[in-house]
Amino acid sequence: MLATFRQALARRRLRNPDYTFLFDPPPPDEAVCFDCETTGLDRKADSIVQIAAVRIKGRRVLTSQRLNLMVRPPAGMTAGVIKIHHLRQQDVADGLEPLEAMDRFLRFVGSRPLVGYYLEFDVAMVNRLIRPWLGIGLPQRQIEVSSLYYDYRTSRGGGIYTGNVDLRLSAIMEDLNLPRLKAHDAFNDAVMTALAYVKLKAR
Amino acid sequence: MAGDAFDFSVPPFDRLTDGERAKVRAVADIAYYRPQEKVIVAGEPVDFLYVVMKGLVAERQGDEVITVHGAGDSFGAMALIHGAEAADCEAQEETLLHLLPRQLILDLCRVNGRFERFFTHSVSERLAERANVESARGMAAFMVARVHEAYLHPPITVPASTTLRDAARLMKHHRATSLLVESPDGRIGVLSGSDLREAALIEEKPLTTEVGDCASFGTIMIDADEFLFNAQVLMTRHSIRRLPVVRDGHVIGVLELLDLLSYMSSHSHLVAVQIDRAGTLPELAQAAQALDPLLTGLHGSGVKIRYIAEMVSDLSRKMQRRLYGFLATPDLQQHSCLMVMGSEGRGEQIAKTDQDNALILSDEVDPDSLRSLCDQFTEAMISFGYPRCPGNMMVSNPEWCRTESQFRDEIFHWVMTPSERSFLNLAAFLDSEAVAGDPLLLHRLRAYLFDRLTDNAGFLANFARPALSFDTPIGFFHQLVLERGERKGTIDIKKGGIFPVVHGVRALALEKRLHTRNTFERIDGLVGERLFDTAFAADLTEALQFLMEMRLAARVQQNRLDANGSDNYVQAAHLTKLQHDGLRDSLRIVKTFKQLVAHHFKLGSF
Repeated sequence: MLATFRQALARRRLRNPDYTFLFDPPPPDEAVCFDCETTGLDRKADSIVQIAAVRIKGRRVLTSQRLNLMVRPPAGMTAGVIKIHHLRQQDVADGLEPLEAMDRFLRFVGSRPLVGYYLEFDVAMVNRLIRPWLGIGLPQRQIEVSSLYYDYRTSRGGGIYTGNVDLRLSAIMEDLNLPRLKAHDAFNDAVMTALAYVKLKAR
Repeated sequence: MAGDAFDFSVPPFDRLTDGERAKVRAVADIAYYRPQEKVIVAGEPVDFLYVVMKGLVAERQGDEVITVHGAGDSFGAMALIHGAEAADCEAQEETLLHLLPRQLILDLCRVNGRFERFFTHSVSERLAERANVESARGMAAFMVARVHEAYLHPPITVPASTTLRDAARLMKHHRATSLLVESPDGRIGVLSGSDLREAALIEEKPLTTEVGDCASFGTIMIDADEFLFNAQVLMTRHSIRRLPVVRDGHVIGVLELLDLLSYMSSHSHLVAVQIDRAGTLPELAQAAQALDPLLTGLHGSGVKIRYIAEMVSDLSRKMQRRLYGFLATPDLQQHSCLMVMGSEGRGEQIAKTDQDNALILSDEVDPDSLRSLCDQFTEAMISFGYPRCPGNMMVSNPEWCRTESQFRDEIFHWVMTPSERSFLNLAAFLDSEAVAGDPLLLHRLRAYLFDRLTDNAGFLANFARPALSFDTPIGFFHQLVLERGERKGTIDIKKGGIFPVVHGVRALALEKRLHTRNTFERIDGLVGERLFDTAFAADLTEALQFLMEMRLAARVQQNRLDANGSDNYVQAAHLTKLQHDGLRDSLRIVKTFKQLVAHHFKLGSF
C-alpha cells in the first residue's frame, strides 16, 4: 500500500517522460542484480567507476544478458582504491560519462526488482547521479541479499539461532557453498550476489 | 576477464580460440538446481549443453545410474548434437550449471574440428559405458557402421516433368516417403512427402505442376562408404531427414533419418520395414537374417530382456504372417487361423527357437487339401533359421493342422485322459497366440479350454505338478549346486530356473482364468488376484529376467542364436562374482516360488 503510494508519488515527480517505463509492471519472475565499484565509501563525496548488472529469471542467472560499464569519475582516484579493485586511471579514462552510464543502466533494469548486497549503498550512489537529472531515485522494489541470508540463518534450527551472523559476502558464499569468483570486480560481485539470491529464493 | 565464472581449462573448452571463448562467455547463463531436481527429463528436447560449475548430476536410465557428472563435466551433447533421446539428468546435490545454447555449440562444432571431435569421440565412450563397456556391441557397431550397411530405401527416380499427382501415386504404390527427381541437366533433387503437401495443400499448386518445380535441388548427398554417424551429423546440421546415397556417381538408395536412428538404437525398425516390404520368399529370408545381429546388438545394450523378447517375438510373428500371406489365398486366410505357441506365443522368444505353430481351419475346409501348403510353410521357416520342433508341434504335422471341431475334440480328450503328452499339448495351447487369418477360431477354442479346465481342481493340481519335477540347483546353505556327470560343473538354468517359473505361473494363471500369455503379464495379473504381494512379484520378475538374460548371454557367447539346448547350461566357473550372486539370488526366489505353488495346489511334501 505504502509502496504503491510511493511509486505513484515518484511517478509524478519524474521529470523526463522518456523514463516512464520504470513504472511498468515488471516481467514475471525476473530481477536484476547490480553492483558498483566506487572511488571510496563516502556516499556524499566518492563516485562510481564501474557499474555492473545481470538479469535473473527464475532459477537462472542470465550472464548472457549483462551490463558492465566503466564510468569516468569526475575527480582523480586515490591510490588505495586502485589497490582494492585494480582499476587504474587509464582503465576508467575511456569510461562513459556518468549520465550516459546511468541511462544505459536504467534501460537495462527497466521495472525489474533490484537485488544486491548492501544494496542501500549502491542505490544511494546511483541516486546521487540520477536525482538531479530525473527528479527521482531508483523506484524499483529492492531486495537485500544479506537480509535474505540473515533470515535464512536465523530460521535454521527452528528460529532459536542466537549467535552472530557473519554477513560478509565471502562468508555468505562460503556458507551457501557457492563458488567464489574473483572479488572486487563489479560484474563478478553481481553474479555472486545473484547466485546467492537464486539459491536463497529456491529454499 | 580474470577470475572468470567459466573454466576454460577443462576439455573440450581448452580447445577454443580466444575469439570462441569470448562467444561462450557472451551467451552462457548459470542455473541453480536443488538436490533431486531434474535438469533434463528423458524424452524432452534439450536446448543447452550443460557444464557443471559446482555440484553433481546423475544421468539415469530408469532407476539405473549410467554416469555421474562433476565439476567441469559437460552433458546433454548427445541429445544436442546427435538428436538422440536424452536420459534423465538429476541434481544429486545443490548444483550450479552453465547453460550453453544449442546454436552456439553447433556453430563451434562447425568451425572448430577439435572441439567437434571431442563430442563425436565421447559419444562412443558414453555409449560404451551405457552398454557395460565390454558389451557395447550394438552401439559400437553403429559407430563403425558404414552408410551402405543401413537400410537404404530403393531409389525411385522420376524425370522433372512428372506431375505432382503421378508422383504422389508412385509414392503410394512403392510405399516410398520420397522420390528422386532428375532434372534435364542431370542434377538430382529430392521430393519428399512434405514437399508434396506444401505444394498441393499450402501453396495450392495445380496437381499437374511438374515436380521439377517443387523438389529441392542442390541436395546434399553422401557416399555409400561414409560412416553412418557422419550421415547423421549431416542431417542434423542441415536439418534434413533424408540423404541420397551415391556410389561411383550413381544414386543407389536413400537413407532416411528414421532408419538411421533406429539402426542406432536397435535395428529393430529396420527389420520390421524389411519384413513389411518383402515381396518374395528370398526377400523375406533376407529380412530373417537381420534378426540375429539385432539380438546380438541388443544383448547388453541395457534394454530389459523382457522387452527384447517381446520385440523378437513380434518380429517373428510378423514374418510368419507375411509368409502365410504369400502361401495362402485370401479366401483360405479368412477361413483359417495360424497360431504360434510356446515361448513365441508368450512373447518370450530370445532366439530363433523351435517352431511351435499350428493351423486351425474352419469346419468346411478339408485339412488334407492343405498338406503341401503346410509343408512349404515349415520348410520356409527352416530356411529362415527356425529349427524343426522336436515334439513335431508344427503345421506340417497333420495333428497340428485341423479343423476347429477336430481341435475341440482333441482338447476334450486331453483334459479327460491326462498324460504327459496331453499336458504338454494343453500347455502349448494355453500359450497360443493368433498370428494370421481369423483370430476368432483360436479365441473360441481357448474359451472352450478354459471352461473345461478351471473348475477342475484335481486336474489343475496335476497340471501344476511338473513345475516341481526338477530340483532347483540351490542348496540348503544357498550355495549353487552343480551338475555331475556329462555336464559336470554346469548349472541347468532352464530346468531348475526358467521352466518352474513359467509353468507354475501358467498353472496359477489358468486357475484364475487369466487370458494373458506373457509370463511377466501373468505375474502382474496374479498380483491383482492377491496370490502374490507386489514385492514378491517384483522379485520373481527380476529373477526370471536375470535367468533369461543369462541364457541370451550364453547364446551370444557361443555365437549360436539357433536354439540347440546348450544355452540351458551355465558354466559355473565362468561366472563373474556379480553373475554368481545374481544367479544364486534368482534361484532362491525360484525355490520360494515353487514352495508357494506346492502349497497352493496342495502338492504334498516337497
